[in-house]
Amino acid sequence: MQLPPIGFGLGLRTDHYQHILEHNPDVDWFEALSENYMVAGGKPKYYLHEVRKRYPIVLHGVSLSIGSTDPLNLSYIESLKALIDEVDPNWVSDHLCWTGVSGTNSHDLMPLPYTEEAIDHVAGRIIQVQDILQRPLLIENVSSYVSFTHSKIEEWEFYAEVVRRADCLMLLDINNIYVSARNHSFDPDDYLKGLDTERIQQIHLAGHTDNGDHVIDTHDNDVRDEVWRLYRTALRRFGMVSTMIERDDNIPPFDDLKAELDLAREHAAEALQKNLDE
Amino acid sequence: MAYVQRANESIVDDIDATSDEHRARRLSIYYNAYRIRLRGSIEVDHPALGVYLGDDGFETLAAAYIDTHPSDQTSLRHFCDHLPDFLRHNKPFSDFGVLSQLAEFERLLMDVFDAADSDAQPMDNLTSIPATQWPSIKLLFHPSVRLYVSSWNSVEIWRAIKANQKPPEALQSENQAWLVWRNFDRLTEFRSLAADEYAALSNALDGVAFAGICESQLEWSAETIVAQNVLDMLRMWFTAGIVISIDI
Ligand SMILES: [Fe+2]
Repeated sequence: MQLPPIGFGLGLRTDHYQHILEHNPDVDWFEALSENYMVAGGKPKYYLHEVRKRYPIVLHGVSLSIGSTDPLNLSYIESLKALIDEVDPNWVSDHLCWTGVSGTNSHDLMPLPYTEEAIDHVAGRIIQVQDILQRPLLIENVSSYVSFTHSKIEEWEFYAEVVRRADCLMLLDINNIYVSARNHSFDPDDYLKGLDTERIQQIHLAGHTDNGDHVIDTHDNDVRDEVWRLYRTALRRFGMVSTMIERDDNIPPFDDLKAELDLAREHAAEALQKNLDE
Repeated sequence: MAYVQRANESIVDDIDATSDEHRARRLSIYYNAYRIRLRGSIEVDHPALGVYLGDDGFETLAAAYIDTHPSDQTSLRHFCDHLPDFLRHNKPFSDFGVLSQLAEFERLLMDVFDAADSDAQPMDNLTSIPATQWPSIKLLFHPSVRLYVSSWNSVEIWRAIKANQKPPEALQSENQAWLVWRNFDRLTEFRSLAADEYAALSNALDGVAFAGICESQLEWSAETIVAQNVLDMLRMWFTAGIVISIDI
């Protein structure tokens, strides 16, 4: 079920295309945002293919809207399938959320009510998408600022059960766990304990903005200490998991991100070493 | 969706919160994020329009456009598809005809940027065809090729802003045609077209054969030189790398 780990990766960003092709940096793989390459041709595709010649690629989407009550967007899924055929990614991911309803799109990752009914709905849709794509999906936990009174179970119970029932994999965003734990006052360790090790295929790390009474998932600065700590806890629990750092705003020079990725390697080595010692 | 568009209403009662104020504050995070994201998409896709409008003008436009056109597309790439029309039909923007044309030009540049790829044909492939077959020759063009017609100096304004220079005053003019395309290095190029070349290229893009193009060029060229003039145009198109196939 689980795919082999591929090490430490970074997001493929327009600002860094040239640098990557010129310097072949020591990064194990790149994560490309699917929607950016669902175009006919031109520079975006050219660079994607050039990077693909040199590195493994995973595709990460934001538009599947797997939790929506609208019908599945088949034309989107077909475009995704075409891109998969072109790029041959190691795996493909999207989010446990809904992005729009009744044809209107929020372009945001909105949380679901955590109910039995929603588990059935979302798992059924993931199964349909996996059937069309003929490959397992990775589903990522989102950060949230609100929760619903309908919710009967905890977020991690919901997430773990959706993934079990759909028989898919997890892209675990450690920063999102931290952000939601702060916003909804739960213990992030409980979250990690509620998940199945053998389903966790990839980890996201990112920076956030701490506003005191709430935390926002901004992806515009360095990974914070609290998130590094939770990352080490996660790896001690799950063993080595392919890890990447998401940076979507205020994007620094490539070497700065590379340095942060090397820091992730150090945190991982330390966490896994501790495992061996115990 | 109502709660991202208006930060209130139906769904609000279902949100778990310790107080109304707490609930409103949390919902406003989504509401603000929605507007910031769409505003960013306008700014990224229409940089020259943004500079031309100035900060206040741009914020007014962004707010009005977001209110009028909730995003109905999977991709933000198409969020501003209605922007030229919006500028044409809504005051105060409609009082300045150049705005809509500037937006139209920027959208056209986006189409050129990510249009499909295709290999260009060299001119030799044309000249090796026997002259007797020329009348029926049709050309196929690179998917990025676009014709743009302006009745304002929108391209000149775009060019000045792009070069960080003060844009010229907006002026209405005779219709001016432009050819826009993506070159061998995947860079966008454009040049103005005289009326005769615009007519010839419009014909050729519509699939009119060489003989038909020559015929419609009689409006500009004497019969004795029309074939040569059209051939000169074809040579420029081949040199620019916009011809991808020659059908006989
Ligand atoms: Fe993430």
